[in-house]
Amino acid sequence: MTAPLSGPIPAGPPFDLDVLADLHAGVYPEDVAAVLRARAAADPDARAVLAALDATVADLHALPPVPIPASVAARLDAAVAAEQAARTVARVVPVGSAPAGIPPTAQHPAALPTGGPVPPSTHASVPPPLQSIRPTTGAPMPPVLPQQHAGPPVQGDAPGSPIPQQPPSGRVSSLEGARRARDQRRAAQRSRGPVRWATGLGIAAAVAAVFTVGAVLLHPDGEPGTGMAGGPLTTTSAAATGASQPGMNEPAPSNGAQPPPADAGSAPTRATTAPGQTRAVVVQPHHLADLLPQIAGKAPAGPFADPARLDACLAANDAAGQDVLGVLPVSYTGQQAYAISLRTDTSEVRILVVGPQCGASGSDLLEEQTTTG
Amino acid sequence: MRGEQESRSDADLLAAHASGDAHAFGALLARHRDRMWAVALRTMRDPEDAADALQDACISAFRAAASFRAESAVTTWLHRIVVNACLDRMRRRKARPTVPLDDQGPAEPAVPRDAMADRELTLDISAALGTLPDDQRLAIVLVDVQGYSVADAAGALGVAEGTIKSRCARGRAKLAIQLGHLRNRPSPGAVEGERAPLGSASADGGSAPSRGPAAQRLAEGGG
Repeated sequence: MTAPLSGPIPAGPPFDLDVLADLHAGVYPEDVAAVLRARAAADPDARAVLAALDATVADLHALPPVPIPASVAARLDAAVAAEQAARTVARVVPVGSAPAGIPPTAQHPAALPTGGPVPPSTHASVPPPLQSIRPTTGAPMPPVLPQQHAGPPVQGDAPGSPIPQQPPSGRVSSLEGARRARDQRRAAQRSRGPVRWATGLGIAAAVAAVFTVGAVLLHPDGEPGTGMAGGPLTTTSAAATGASQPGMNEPAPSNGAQPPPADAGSAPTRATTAPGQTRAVVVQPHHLADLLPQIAGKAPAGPFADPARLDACLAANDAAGQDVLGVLPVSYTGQQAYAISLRTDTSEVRILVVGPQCGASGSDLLEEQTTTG
Repeated sequence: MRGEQESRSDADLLAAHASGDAHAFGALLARHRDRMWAVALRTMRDPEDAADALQDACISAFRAAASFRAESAVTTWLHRIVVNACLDRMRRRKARPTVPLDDQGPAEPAVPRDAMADRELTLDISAALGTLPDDQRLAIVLVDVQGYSVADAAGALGVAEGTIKSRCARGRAKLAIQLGHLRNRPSPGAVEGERAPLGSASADGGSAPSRGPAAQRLAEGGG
């Protein structure tokens, strides 16, 4: 507010252009404006200026509509569809849901069945829904978005949990520096993208093989990771809920992993799958390394299926140029997230868990960990 | 389904989305995306940046639907999200000094050239808009181009109404000169960055008298 409530009347005529522009825009208090209007009306130059400002506004009003280009509209539709899909997963795989057999009433969103530390309370920051129509208990309910649903009802979601608020961006201090290289990288990435992915997937396949062999060696009885809290290489299958059915979006690993028993929640990561739904891996903070076998080789999905978006996300996380070993949709402390494994220049494997907002708008980094691959 | 969605109000669609309706948000977006795009494009001036900002805004709106409160119109709420996404990107763009704002000039490059070829005035206005400081351009775009009230624009930008008025005043004065409605008459002693003394209306043949520096007060908060 630049105008005094009711103060000195600017000098004129002759008037300064800005005085007249302010008068025209309604900046002055009415009593001051009335005096100015009277003076301006008596001044031909001031009248001409006010008329010019009117003409300017008319020109601006006359700007034609700018319809959204089809390509941008399609991009938005895709982004929204990805969000919708993520929400579907979040609803079908509520964080903290126990494997089959656990009474639904015991499944509070903050009560992870792992018995581990309660993750940061993202739920507390979620605004209440506009209408309280979501179940507040874990009573079974059909999925809200049943496009892919082909089985029995799955666990209902927790209040406000499916779409948590995006954490503030800009957590990474080097974001701006990384972003500066984005534009240059975009062109380069587009040209060498296939080669990069081929390399990345080749490494990913090798990593996956190593972990698979390791898992078999560690668990020759065919119960990999079962009931082993903090097991180093907990492999999981798509049948974690015991309700797996054929025809899932992602085939179950062929490593012979069996569905964990109901008390297997002590494993740091669990893959939970509802019938007919894309598998979502629940990852707990500080156990990112356990995700490696599951990330390896996974092609980017959701928003990161767009190479430019993935590049932007990597740049935002100061990971520009690092080979992507895989991108896995996960559920992290109640948020839909993506785990990205990267081969760093030092031959270490860096795992980022980022929210779906990761991209040019910010890092959306939830956690990261570097380990020797 | 489509007809049913079309008959629902914005607030109904947003509420339906917040409660799990898989189609409601798409219907809401389809209803407003042209205006959202116009705001983004005319604010950012770069179609790629505008598309990025709009996508960010859509995702933010998708997730924040439950936080919407009925005190404001859904359109104002949506545009505030778009504006914030644009501001966020503009701030970051300024942090990249080596990246030009727009390689193709400040016109509206996302609009097919053939559709705009016969609108030289439109291009002139768009180019002139591109020369304004971001805060003035945002205010002008919302109020004078998109037709929002000062109050709605203030709500969208999160500033006082007086600030919107002042920014509009500054921007309009500059545009009036650039668009030829006013003739810029630099006066002796005018200092760069100082409020330009009044030019005369072009229609009067430039016979305006010289103007004194009478509006220094405007420098304090006009943006």
